[in-house]
Amino acid sequence: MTVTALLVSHDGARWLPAVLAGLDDQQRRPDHVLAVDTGSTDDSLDLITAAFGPDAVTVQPGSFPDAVAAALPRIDTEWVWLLHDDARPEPEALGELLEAASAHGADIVGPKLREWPSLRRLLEIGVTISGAGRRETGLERGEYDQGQHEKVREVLAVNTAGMLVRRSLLEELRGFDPELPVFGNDIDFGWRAARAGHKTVVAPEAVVFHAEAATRGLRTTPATGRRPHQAERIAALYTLLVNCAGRAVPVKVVRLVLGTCLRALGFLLSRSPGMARDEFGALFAVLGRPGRIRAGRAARRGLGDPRSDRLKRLLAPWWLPYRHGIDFAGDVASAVANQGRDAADRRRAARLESSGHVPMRRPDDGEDELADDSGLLVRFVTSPVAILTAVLLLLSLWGAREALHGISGGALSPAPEGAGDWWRLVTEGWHQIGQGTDAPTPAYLLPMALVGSILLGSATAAVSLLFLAAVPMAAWGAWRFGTVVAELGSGQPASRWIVGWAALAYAAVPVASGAWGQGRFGVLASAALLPWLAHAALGLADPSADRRWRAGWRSSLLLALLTAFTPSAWLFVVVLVVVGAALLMVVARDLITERSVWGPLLALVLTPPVLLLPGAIGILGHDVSALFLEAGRVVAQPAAGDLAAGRFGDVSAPHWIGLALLVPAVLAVLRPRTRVAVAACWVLVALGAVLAALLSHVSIELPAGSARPGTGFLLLVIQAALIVAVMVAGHGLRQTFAGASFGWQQPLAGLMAVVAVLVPLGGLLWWIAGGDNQLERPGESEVPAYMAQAAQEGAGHGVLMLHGSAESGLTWRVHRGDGVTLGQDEILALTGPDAGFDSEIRQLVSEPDADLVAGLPARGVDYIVMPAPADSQVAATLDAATGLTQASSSDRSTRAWQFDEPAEADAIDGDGPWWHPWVLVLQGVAILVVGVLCGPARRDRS
Amino acid sequence: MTNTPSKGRRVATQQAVRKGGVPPTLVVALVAILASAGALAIQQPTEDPEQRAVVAPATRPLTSLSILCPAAVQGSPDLVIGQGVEGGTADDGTLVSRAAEGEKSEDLDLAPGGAGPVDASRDAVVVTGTGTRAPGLFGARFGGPGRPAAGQCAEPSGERWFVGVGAAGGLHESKLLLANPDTGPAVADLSLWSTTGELIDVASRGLTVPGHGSTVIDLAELAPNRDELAVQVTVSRGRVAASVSDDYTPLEGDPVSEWLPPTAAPATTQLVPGLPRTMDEPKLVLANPGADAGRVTLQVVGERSTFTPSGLKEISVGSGEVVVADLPPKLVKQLAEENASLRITSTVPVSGSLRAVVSGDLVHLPAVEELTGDSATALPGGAGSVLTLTPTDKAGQARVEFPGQDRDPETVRLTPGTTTTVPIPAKARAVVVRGTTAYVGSVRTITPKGASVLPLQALDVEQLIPDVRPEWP
Repeated sequence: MTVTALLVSHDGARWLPAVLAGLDDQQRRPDHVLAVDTGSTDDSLDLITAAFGPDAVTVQPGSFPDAVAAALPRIDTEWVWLLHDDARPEPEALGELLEAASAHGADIVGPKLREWPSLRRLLEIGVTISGAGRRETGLERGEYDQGQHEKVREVLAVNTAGMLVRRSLLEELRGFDPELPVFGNDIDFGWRAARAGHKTVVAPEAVVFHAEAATRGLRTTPATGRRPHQAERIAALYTLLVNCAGRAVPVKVVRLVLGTCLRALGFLLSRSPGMARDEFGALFAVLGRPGRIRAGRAARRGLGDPRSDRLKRLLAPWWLPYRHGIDFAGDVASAVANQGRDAADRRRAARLESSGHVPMRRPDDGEDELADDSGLLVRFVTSPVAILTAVLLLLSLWGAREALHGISGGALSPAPEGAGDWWRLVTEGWHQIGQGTDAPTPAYLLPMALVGSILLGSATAAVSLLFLAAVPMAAWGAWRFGTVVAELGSGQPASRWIVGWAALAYAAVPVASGAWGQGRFGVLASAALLPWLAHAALGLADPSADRRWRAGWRSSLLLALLTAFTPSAWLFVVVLVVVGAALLMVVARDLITERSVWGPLLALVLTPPVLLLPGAIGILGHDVSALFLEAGRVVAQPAAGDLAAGRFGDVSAPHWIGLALLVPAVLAVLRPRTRVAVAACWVLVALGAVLAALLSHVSIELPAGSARPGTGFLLLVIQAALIVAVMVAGHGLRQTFAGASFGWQQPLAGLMAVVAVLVPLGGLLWWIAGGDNQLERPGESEVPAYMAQAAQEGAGHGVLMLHGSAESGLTWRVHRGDGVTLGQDEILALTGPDAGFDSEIRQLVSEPDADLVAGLPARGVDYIVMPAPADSQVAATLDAATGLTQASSSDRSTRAWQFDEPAEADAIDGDGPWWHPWVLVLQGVAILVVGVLCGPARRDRS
Repeated sequence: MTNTPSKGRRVATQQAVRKGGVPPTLVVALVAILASAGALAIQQPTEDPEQRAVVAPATRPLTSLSILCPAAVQGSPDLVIGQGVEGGTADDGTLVSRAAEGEKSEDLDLAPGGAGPVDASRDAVVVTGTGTRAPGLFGARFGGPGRPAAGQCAEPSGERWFVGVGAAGGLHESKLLLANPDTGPAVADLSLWSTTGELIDVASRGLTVPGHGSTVIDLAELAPNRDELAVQVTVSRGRVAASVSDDYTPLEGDPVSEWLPPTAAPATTQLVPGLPRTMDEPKLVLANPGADAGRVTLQVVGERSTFTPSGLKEISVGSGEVVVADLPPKLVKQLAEENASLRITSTVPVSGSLRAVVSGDLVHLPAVEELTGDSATALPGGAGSVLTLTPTDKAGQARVEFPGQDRDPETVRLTPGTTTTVPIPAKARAVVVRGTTAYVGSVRTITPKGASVLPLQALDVEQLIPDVRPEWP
């Protein structure tokens, strides 16, 4: 057996010396050595000329297939051993290859490719191609060579780096396809060989180290272009289309188009728009030149059956691309998770560094984990923080026990039957509630619907979760935020006890304020989210521009969520950003002109309106100030005294507990050491108070009356800022006084500490002990059961409910489906006044004529109900009306009538605004884009 | 903002600054605190979200009104119908009487805005005015020439009280007539109270009155062995008009059929107007349907003042009981001295009625509903009738008209706490009173053969058109 080693080089001077040495070290030396240089601009030509002599070297500008084709006539040996200028063979490589060839009767033999320079990682042991065109190696990413793949086996193809091939086969197949200059020519060659009945094996005993210079973009040649990914995809698509069976081509094309879209989406999700562009570029490049494919297929026509069983076995299984998709999603998720941990690690490292500690071992080291696991219980019972946390968690669950079942009351309407009802409200532009309306859906329904769907479609569970988890979430967020701010604000390591106090004090705000007990779920959700938003916003001051951007996007997403529940959040942040930017203009003018400084701030302010687009646009036809209605039923807003005490009116913890916080917060100003942070907190308080005062003078005109913009968020911010001020000022207080002589300051500080401790304790105890609240199980409906059941049959089957009396005026509402449920209150509040229906009812209750009575079912009314006490005049009028029949009711004093003509199920159906679906799509895209921008960049990881 | 680190050096600088004056951060903090306080000061006080202001209900003239006139008794003259609209009215409507049971109907001949006897069936009839003939419709039946008695026509109403109703074995026996003026069925409930408490084991619930039909309930059958009943008629479906007829046998003489007027619903203050100057066996029947016992005191609203006769004892009324009390002779004596009304004041809502024998005739004097605006009653025609008016609250005036009579209306002054009397011309067949203040009133007729009392009935002239608005979400 005679062998010619053929080395193809192109700008490989970096690797050539080692490659040449490897060739020189071969135990079974090749009989001839030839080299083809494809037009290097570095010292490659000199290096190979020096090694092989000028006779053995040819210069052939072009691609790898061209180079092989050019050298082939000069080869007269039985075998050809192809080598790249970045592939270094192990000394026994050629010997092993030849042995495998003769032992297995193979026509092509490939070595085991290992990574160069890491030397340990496996690159390829034979390759195949998946249906999506992906190069499949069958190896885990970064798998180490531990001798686990030692069997010689048949494969579809082997890499051209180190490929030993019969000269006769090269001639028979007319070498490598010149249409595949760099990538994929090996797979195509192997595929053609297999079709022609030749055998390709991989010999793992033969090892070649490969730098994969072209694939990794270490080297760009005219052949690869500046987009190696696109070139790779072009090659893959071409290979698939020219080699597959003729009948499968149309299906293949469709599949590749869809696959490209999916892959591009995946790349977009991982913030690699360039890769996504490459995907489409490749698709268009291949499909745009069908002649090339036709020519390629014609050249392969005589090779043999493209659908033989042997080929099927060698190609990758059909499910492989889907597995890759799942892996990819998993990767993204873990990357996002890792990013959070990275940030935590970074901060911990910085803290340790500043405190001069020796860095700890990473706790997630394999060995430690085992030891830690075994001592989990021990660690738990010996950690006071863990025990306290668990106790508080249990207590908070106990306090919120009412929320374990469905609740309603105060600002909270009963939850609908399922999350599907919420989805309908979100996605439909026309709502079949009331008399049919196109009023905008409240923005918080989207996240609520999402949570509901996750909780197996239960809307009740979503509401319960909010009421159960708000307090622990608020405490957790406050703890995280407090730890960072305490350090930044006081310049000292954060004290667990003081930050713990702050977290508790903040967690007490949503319950002690009465937001929990009054069913103000918007405020509750905002309370749980606010510390997380504040924490994310801290990243806006990060030294790294990339992190600033990411913090900007992340804060904007959280702000959008907060704004959905409590719209004044956005207003507050806008004012805050304006004030902050103005301040920066004064103190650091050059800083604010930097794009990565003002950009994230702008993103923070402008993104929420885009993310909440349907509501923002939908409100335009209504009183625009209604944008600032808080989530839930329209309820009273806190007065000045309530705001100062952090209370929503009467159903709340005693006011004095809340007012007690003001004393230490004011006195905190006296500590010079932390005064900057405390002053900043007070500026926040002032902003919140001023905004609340301004909003209190705004009146929102609704069809049924007037309401005030919600100021619940401002109450939260004021409370949070006061707590932070006290927390920061409390740091180092003990140390300061420990060494000082006794004076008036020590007792004062002690007194303040006691007062401060009272605030969370009082609020939480009041709550846990079963403080006043308005929540109850959704009660019996006023609507007789059989009517409620009939109403379930279609939105058009409404029950007209009349309350009041002729003297004091009647109010009407139409009961449809489950009645008014969470999310419908705001829509109904915004529904434009239906003067026509008002006057029809006025006529109905005073002088009903037959035409009117006959016409009402067309407006989606089947029944009329007057709950007790029914006005006798109105009742008598309806009794005497023709076209109405008295209907029975469960309660004798409740009067009911049925229209003789039944209503149509689609009586109140209508068309939403034409732009609604488009705005929804825009919103979806915006959420997706911002979500991706929040995540880690792919480039960051590699 | 909050994250500006205050390093050790900064502290030093601050302290250095302090020597020069007030540190700027302190100024900022203090300004912020003051700004917060200021902002709270200009905050609007809290208020509940406001419903749109309630608009007073509009009104329009009534376009249809039905009244139930009881059946005639032996010797009754024709039914007297009147229309108490101010300044007369156009003849643009119909006036029809229909038998309370059945569909037999006849047009009635009455001048618009006038009053007088009409030729109608002697059975119980439902008189219906439509169009311009509807507003202010009223009417009554009267006893024969030998015996003054009166049974007023009744409008359908959600609730009616009859106190002093007699059942089997008592002084008198009563029958309740329920009539449904509409075509659809109506349902009424009866609640009964006797001297021993509420009757809960009687089948008096869910009495269905078919459309254009009537039901007569013999209270003697419904509650045998009970006398002195109080009956509440509540209508739970449709419209029902109720009327009570009363039979009694005088000590010497033949059985007599009469009518028993309805009483005002229970209240803590009630007025019984039109007391005869002389009466025998006066008995006050009081019903307390509530769950609490109460005490009742009596006052006399005389021509010049209201006074409490000295030495009068409180009457205690047990919960759910009907109490029959003799009027103290002292009080009867004082009542004989002037035209007066009796004020019944109670600690719990009670309903009351006075029963007495006048010239051998049994007379029921009910406590009456307070009236505002216009009221009227038909009159038997003849001598001996006097209108008494008692304002309930404030001073005011009342204009007294006699429809169909060529007389100028008479205006009288109503002084609180006093009773004013207006003599009635013998030929008048109706009286209409237009008051400027709240008042009660009745027409008392006394002849040598007996007496009758006709309380003024509020005139239904217009209908409320309620303000309608969407419910607050």
